Amino acid sequence: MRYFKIFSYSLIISFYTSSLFAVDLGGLKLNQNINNYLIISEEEKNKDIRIRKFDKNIRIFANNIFNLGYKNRGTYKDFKILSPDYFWDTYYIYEKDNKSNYIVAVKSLNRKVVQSKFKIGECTSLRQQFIKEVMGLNFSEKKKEYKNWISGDMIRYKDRVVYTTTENDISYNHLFSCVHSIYYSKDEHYISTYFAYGINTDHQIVTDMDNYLNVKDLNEFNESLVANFKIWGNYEISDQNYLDTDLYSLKKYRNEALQMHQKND
Amino acid sequence: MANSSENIKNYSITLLCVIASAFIIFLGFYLKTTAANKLIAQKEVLMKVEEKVDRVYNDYKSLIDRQISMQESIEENANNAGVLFNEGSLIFSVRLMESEDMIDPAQADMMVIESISQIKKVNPRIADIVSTFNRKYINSR
Repeated sequence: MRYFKIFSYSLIISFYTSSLFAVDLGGLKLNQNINNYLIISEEEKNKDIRIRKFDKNIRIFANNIFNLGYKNRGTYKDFKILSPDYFWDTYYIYEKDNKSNYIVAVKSLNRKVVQSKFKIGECTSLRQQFIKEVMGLNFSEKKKEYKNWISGDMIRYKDRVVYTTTENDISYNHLFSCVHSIYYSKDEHYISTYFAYGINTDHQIVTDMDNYLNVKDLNEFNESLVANFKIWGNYEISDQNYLDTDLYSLKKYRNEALQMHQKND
Repeated sequence: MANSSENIKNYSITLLCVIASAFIIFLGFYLKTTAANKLIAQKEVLMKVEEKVDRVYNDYKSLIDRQISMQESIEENANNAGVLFNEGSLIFSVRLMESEDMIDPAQADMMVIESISQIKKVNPRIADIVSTFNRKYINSR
């Protein structure tokens, strides 16, 4: 009985304390002085390459070398990640007025795979599990958004779920996005997919990004569109639900990334 | 003698009364039958009138329904033709703009895909044909 009481108290305490410190990403918190995180020189910090085109007052910083399982195109270690989740490949911090304005973690699920090898349901299944992990029992508003835009010679689709929670009178947006890029070359379609999780307190930054990219809202979307997409049109979209949390288990993906990290550490 | 004539008088009065009563009964019976017949006849007339009115109403209603459905069908056909024409011209304009480097190929492709989706809703066979031409164009550029 005594142990049961201790267990119950610890459960209650852990529940409340976890909700108090819940809104961070890898230990990175919003609206903090960016200099508390950055480990680069002032010169590096002020490089033009960091300035975002959608808002010249916003700069971006990245870390993509904490996870050695990820094959980087370029390496960035602009800040330390206090408690990294090795599931992610890259963490980004968007800075405005010297404060962390928007924090994003990205996992690349595939890069230019032929359409026939596209794993339908992979991203949405991982996202569903991740949402459960992050949101837990938190009651929040939920909004689904489907977007489409052109980037160079790629056609991109974004399937975003936005949860809004309030903690200590501050409203936090949690954005869980599956982004698919479709590229066509020599009678073959290629797909790249990444899963992103972002947090912010001011959604304006996301709206500005979308406006800059000339993003169009779609009424409906599911991954069958990506699997069946044909650049010449006239393709089918199925209504089927493709979630498969056993085949695409978040735990499995995380373990694989962690093992790869430990091997190379 | 006087007694006998009194009897005849009484019998005559009685007979007259009987005849008068029979006449009244007959008259009553006749009038009743006539009224009932008239009522039946009136009902029949009314039913026939109602039937005729119903028939005329139903004929008129079906005529109106036919006219409405014809109008809807004409409207739908006109709309479909409009969609085909609009989307067809849009595809042509977009490809022209692309060839003049006014828009990117990917952007043009996306706009054409949207147009083909619209055409597919109206006429899937035409969408098939347009899509085949589009594929040929994309692969040849």
